[in-house]
Amino acid sequence: MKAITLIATATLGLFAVSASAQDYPDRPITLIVPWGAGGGSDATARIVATLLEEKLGQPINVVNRAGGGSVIGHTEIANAKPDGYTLGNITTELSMFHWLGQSPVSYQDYTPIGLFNADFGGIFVAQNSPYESLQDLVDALREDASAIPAGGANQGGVNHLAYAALVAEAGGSQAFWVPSEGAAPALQLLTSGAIQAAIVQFPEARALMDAGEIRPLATLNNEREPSYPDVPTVAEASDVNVSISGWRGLAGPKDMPQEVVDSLSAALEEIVASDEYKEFMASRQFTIAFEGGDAFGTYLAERDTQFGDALKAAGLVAE
Amino acid sequence: MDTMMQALALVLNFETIVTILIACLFGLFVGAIPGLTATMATALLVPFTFYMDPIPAIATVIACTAMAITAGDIPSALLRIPGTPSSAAYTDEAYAMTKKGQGAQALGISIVASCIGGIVGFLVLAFIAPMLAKVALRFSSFEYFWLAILGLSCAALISSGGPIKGLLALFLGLAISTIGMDPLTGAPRFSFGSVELMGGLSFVPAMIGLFAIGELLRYQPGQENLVSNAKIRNPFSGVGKILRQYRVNLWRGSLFGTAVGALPGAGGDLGAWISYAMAKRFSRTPQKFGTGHPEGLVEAGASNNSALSSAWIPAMVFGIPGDAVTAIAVGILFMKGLNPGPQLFTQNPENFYAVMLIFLIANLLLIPFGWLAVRTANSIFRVSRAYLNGAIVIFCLVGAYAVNNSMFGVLVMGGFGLMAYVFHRANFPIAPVILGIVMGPLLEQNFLTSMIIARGDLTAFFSRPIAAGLGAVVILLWGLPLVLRLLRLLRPKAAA
Amino acid sequence: MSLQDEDDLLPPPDVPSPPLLDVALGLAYAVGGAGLIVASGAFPAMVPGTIVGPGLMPMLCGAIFLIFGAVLSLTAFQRYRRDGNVTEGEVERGSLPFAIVLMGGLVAVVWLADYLGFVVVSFLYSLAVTLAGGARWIYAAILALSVTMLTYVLFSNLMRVPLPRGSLLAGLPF
Repeated sequence: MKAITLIATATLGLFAVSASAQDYPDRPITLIVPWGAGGGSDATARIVATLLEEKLGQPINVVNRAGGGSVIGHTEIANAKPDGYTLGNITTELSMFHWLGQSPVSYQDYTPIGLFNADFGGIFVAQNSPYESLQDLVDALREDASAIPAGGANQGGVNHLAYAALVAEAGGSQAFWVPSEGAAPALQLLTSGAIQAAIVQFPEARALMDAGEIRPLATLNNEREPSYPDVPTVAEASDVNVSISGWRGLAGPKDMPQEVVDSLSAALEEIVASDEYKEFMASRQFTIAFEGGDAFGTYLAERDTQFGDALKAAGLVAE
Repeated sequence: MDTMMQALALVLNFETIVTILIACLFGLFVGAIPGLTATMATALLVPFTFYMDPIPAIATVIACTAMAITAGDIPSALLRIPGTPSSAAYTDEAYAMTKKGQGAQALGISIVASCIGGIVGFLVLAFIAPMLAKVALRFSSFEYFWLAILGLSCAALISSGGPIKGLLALFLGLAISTIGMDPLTGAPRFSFGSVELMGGLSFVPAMIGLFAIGELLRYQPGQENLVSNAKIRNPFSGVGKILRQYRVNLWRGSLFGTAVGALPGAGGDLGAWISYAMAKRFSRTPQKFGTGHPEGLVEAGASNNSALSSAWIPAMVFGIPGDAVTAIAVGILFMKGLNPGPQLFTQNPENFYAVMLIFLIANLLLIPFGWLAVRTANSIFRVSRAYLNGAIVIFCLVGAYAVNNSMFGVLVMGGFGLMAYVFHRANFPIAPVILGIVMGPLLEQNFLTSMIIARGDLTAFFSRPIAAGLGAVVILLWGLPLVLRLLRLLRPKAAA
Repeated sequence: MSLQDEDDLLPPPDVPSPPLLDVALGLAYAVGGAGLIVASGAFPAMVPGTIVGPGLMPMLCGAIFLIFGAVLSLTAFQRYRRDGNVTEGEVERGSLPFAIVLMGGLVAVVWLADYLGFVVVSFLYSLAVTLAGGARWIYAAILALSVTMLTYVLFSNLMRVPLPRGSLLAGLPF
């Protein structure tokens, strides 16, 4: 009997909640992250969700919809009802799916809300590597790129792209890319001596750098990273120049109501400027970037072309 | 000594202790409900850690996961719904004990073995973590490949139903693991244009289907309660005697689990399987395995939790996380300024030792909390089976759904349930299917990565010292029974 | 080492099961294996001139299926010729009506969840399974309702797993 009363109370309570408020948002929002828990996308999406929750006054449920190299999550975001109650964290891979023939979805299937992060990778070698500077590596690549196994993530990922661009700039032959699932296995291959160079993001390599197991040769950023003032850019450290970054942003399905987009975009802009966000991003060494609404749309269009060109140059575009 | 006092002060204060207790309760709940995973729980804790001091923040993750993994053995033993791939290694053994009316004892064994295994893992972590981590860093894809083969061989060789059926079941799991987008090249495999299939079949719905739905399909209405003769009693009575009897298994499981757990990405899931296989191989009574025999439970249970502790070694020493839980933990460490790396041991040793103490406390708390959980869970024996089914199906439903927030998982669960029924009738073992699904990606990716590095040269698998050693063990494992069989064929002739 | 120990080291022999079922499963494996081999040939190789690539693993699985599936079928068929379709020991067969409710209900749940929402379908499913097991109406209803509501509250509120909401019952809070 006690149980039934409890259930009745709980049910009534739930009814009461739903009947209130007219304005957006009047019920919890779902935020789809196309990557698994524990990764960089998950971490950044969760801090954005936590801060957005405070701004909007409604719970934001972060849902990890991982798998298929993020195709599934991205597709799910694009296919959701465009009512503002399903949002998603879209990531770099979206600029590549349709070029690689993995999925027809592209940035045009989404309503851009705002960019909140852009990360640059770095070029790393093992501590005992013969390459003392990036110039050494570039020279070696120029001579015979197929003799230098390098890794960093999957085939056709942003790190592979950056490496292929480096090899192409150096005028080397085909890049010898050893694919792995993510950065951790690639670093393991680097420290165990199975590959000779790795392209990964700085936060992932940081502990191994501190431990003196690996050395950074250069950052793929246009300018030096504030957290690593000693690491030169590619242009500074060698006679070639390459800069490619990954990005993360907030978006919803296509055709969301304009006023919802505006309010979300404004809230995101405040969040990105907030101290909590800056502190979090600094502690994890993620780089903050912001483009709101339409500007984000333009940014995505530019990325799409840039990645398309780079993929074509690397010979990775699907026929 | 001074550092130790500082570390004690960091841990033994009101905030930290209360945090640990709450996290334990949360972990217990998450682990005991089938379908809720430790990863899910840890991800949910992250926003709370934003507002905590560094030590309590990391304490929540440690306490919650240690408790969740152990509590996962409860539905695994009592309802045959394993929560993690590692507890699937001994689900059938524990469930067989439950059927004999020894469910409480099975849980008591797994809790105490977990506690001891966890403490061994903690000791290793506290004293030789940096050394062990350095060894782990020398493992490349070649070594990982052999390790995966070793784990799979164990499963195929010891499974019930004979080696052919074991092999076929194992390769079915491996084949299933290839469904979906290939993580190395992004090529979609066997997805037939479906976006859901592109993500592959996740092991949680498969596991729930194979064990729980398969069991339900064999239910005969009017059948007696799950275990009518089970007495609600202290789950720990008699455990001490069993652990003394199988103390070799206990230590071997703990040490082995610690060793493989330190390898990022492989250890945790493999440890319990290989340990269970070892227990059977070296047992004086291998024929009792699978019929509710505690020996394998002791070894695999200890291995399981010690691997959980030592999985933190590469994460804390080099920032290389082995699974989602440690990945989240590495994030929290960075966020709180406790950057992983050797400086964690040198610059702020009191922080490091505080984290170690939390491991110890969390593992010790397994005993009282485990007792509580088993006492509560025991009441299901008083519920008639018909009603219990009604609750089980709901848990299966949400469990299969919640992994990917998709009804597709429910269909996958149903499909595997049917398969389990057929497999049971035909005496095919189902545990190797699970192991195949879980280890398939590890095996395949490391093989492909190695072959790409070696440009198709198979001898490369023996060109590195550790790889060659592991390879030799695998060859021995498969070759020894054949050699023995040959010898036995020859011997009678020689005698005659 | 005594003979006893050697026996322990040997893999256990194949346990008898209905021979015709083994024949059928073996054939299914062999056919599936052949299909896998054909299908995996279409994947591009990652190391030119070898089969190393996304197709390797499926091809290996296919080969194992084909060979050992055939072996299983043949040995089981020999056993059938010799002994007939006999099985030793007791087998838990289950009950067909209960299995139909269980599996049919599962399909219905997947199909209806989008329209009726999680709470309604899982209540009905649990109720159906409990009743099919021979439970009494009133207790079955109380159990189904309480477990459903409990899981709903736990998952939606505490664990923040958004369970499906019904589009036909949009007015309801779940």
